[in-house]
Amino acid sequence: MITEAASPRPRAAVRVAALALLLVPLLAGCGSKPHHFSLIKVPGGHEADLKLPDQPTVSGKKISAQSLRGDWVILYFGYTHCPNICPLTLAEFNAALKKLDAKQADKVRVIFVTVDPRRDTPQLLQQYVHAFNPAFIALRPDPPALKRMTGRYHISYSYGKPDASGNYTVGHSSEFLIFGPQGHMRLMGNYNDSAKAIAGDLRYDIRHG
Amino acid sequence: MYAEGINPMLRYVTVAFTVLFSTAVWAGGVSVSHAWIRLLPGDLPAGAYCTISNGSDHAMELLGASAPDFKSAMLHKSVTQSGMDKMVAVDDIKIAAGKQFSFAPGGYHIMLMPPHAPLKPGDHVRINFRFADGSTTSALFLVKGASAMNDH
Repeated sequence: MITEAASPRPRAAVRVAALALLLVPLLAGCGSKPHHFSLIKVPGGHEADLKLPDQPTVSGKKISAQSLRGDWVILYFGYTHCPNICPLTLAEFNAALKKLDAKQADKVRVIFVTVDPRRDTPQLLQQYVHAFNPAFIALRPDPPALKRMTGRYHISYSYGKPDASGNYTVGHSSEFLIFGPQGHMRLMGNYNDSAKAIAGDLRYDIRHG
Repeated sequence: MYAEGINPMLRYVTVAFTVLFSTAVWAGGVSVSHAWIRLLPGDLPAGAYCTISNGSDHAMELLGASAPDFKSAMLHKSVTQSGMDKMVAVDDIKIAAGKQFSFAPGGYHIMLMPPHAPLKPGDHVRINFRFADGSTTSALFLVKGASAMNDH
């Protein structure tokens, strides 16, 4: 906007710039304060766009990045035998959606991807995500597809040693990723981000997206 | 469970008593409040959360928990190691005199697995805490649904 030096009519350029600066907040939110993102704002083009494995959801629905165009997608990786971080994060997603108005909430899809396909049967996964919100989607990519998918988004996971009863814990990155209506990654967060913070950022992003 | 096989009226009295006193169960100066469980479907492990207040004049060392309605109860915390979050077992938790310790979603929790009989939101289950000085404290935990938040 500061183009005085290059402009043959510096004063006019400054005036236009000043007017534009005055108009921006008016257009953005009728004079409301600028929005401070609580989640990490992903700079455009810096991270991978949304891409899903060519496999149906655990409820048997066909789903693809293409079919989700126009929606905001929250992508989160975890496992059902996780009693603490995963359920907290999914409960926060549910609470965040409840804080949005119905029209906005309708535009948000939550996708839970298991990193523990051995124990997480399609039936268990469906039951699991349904317990948080009937609209949540669960994916169970086969191991090669899971490896490609987690590699794409820099999500790590590792399996602990099974105990005497065969139970094991799974370590995994706790980040969730939010993609905008064009499939570009826009925001990143984790379970430390409250439902209020997630809802606040989504509300702003949907309104201005 | 605590009211199993007991006359239903007594069960209601027990529940009423629980509701009245669940915010402060006193035993030797140690009290348990905000006690709840996030119930997950089927046999999946559940996380239990509460605040333990040490109202005594000496430090208390929590060594373990037991839950008669579950096969096992373990003190756990979630930690971040090389970019991954994982659960680790906790051997003991020291609570200084007059201080509180919170088991809260995202941090310390009591991992319960699996329940002996199906539970549903609204049920109460007992968890017993064992301290290094040999004392115990027990509290009833309210069973909540998967999407419950830690607001009291």
